[in-house]
Amino acid sequence: MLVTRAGPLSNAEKAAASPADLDAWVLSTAPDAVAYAASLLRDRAAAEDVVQDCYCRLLQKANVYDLPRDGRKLLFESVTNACINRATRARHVLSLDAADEDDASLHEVVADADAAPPDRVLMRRELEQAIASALAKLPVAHRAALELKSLGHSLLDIGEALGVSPNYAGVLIHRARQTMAEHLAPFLEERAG
Amino acid sequence: MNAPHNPADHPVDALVRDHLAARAATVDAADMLARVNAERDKQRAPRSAPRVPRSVLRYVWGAATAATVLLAFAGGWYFGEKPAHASAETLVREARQAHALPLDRCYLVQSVPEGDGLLARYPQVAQPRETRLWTRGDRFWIESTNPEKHWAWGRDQGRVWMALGGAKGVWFDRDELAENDDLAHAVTVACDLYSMRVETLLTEVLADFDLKRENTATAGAVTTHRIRAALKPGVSSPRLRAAVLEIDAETRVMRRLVLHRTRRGEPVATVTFTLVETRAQGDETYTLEGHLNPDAQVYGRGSDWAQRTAALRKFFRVPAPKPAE
Repeated sequence: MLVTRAGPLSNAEKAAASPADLDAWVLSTAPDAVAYAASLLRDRAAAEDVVQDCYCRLLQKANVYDLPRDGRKLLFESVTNACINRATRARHVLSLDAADEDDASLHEVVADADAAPPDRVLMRRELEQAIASALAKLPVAHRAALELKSLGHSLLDIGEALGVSPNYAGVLIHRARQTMAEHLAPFLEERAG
Repeated sequence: MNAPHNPADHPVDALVRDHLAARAATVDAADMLARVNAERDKQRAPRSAPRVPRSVLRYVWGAATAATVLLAFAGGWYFGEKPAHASAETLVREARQAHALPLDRCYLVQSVPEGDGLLARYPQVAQPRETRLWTRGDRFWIESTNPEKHWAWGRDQGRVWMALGGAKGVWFDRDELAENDDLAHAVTVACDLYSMRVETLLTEVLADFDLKRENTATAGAVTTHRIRAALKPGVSSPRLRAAVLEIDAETRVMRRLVLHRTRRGEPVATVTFTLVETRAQGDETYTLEGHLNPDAQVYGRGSDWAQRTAALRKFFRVPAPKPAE
């Protein structure tokens, strides 16, 4: 029997979860999931590996979950856990290739610097770097909470993903916003003005 | 959470959301799907003979693998049957063979400048940047990764061309550029940095570099052999100081390269090429005409020289020469 938060699925709903639907679910969620994981891990290649593993695990249970309907929440929960576990246990190893392999820093570059007027490019690049830098200063749980919130997830879901109560998830978000606001004050004032 | 709630418009949330969206735009979802399907196929049939999963064939990355394997068979060799512990030199030779196949490969190119004084000497490369490179053998063309702006440029049979938004094209013949040192220099630097003439590169690596095989890594369905190339003692290379090659264990296609580029012996930039897509493209994509609308304006030999050079200077960030006093 298929089980979802909304209860067992009808036959019609079961039929809806076809391989094509599951493929579409992966295609629609992968960009956000990889971007989120890369921000938590600060390593794009590792993030892709984590997200791939999470998809594989969830798809193995496609007969239990209604992934097209509930999969986004499950995916982000799974990615959050995997990234926090990985970030927590990862040892910092110096490598001659460290600069080359720091995909997060590489992805901080603004795509196509020629595409916009120089002043706009410069401002965008500065803002991108400031946000990345400010996010990097947050503890990983704070970063996860803030990013999940910015992606539209509820406090209940964020709490479940992080293994904390919804109220405490709100506290984490509040603290993360405060820290970010301090680091991004000039940009926020400019936006407000 | 399947359909996320509208985030409250807290200003920090909005900045973070934009930041994540910009990063999400660089993710190839089809590639992730292909990886997931390939991994799941592998898990379902771990002991079966090597095969190309049906699901993978539907997508570009999978199509690349399939095409490469099929063409490799047609060409009389199949790397999967080669010894598992081939030497670094053997792997690079086999990569050169794999890239000689008539397939078009797209690499994400990320460059980070190196060295002091770069801004003054090479303003066109002084900022980190990201582009996409399409390559087939020694042919190439480069396109923007910015969805808001469409441009492409390339060099084909000595002709340098630029397509600006499909509506305007500019090209220069080799001899025209040769008469203008700064423009020729700018184009050469850009080609050296952002393009990858695979066969030439690998031939140079085999001849002038000591190759050391490092770890073999598996990420999802893909296993790669990592090879570090360092210049042989007493040998100099005008454009390359060192390289790291990650070669697909099955197809011998280069999945990732890190090139430490030099100019006149000095470090200029570290350029990382990451394979993102493989598929057959028409020959026209390597030409200016393949990137222009039918009614596009084209400025070539015979068109206004000042207009053409101004476009090229702007494109490659070449400062205008100081007026003679």
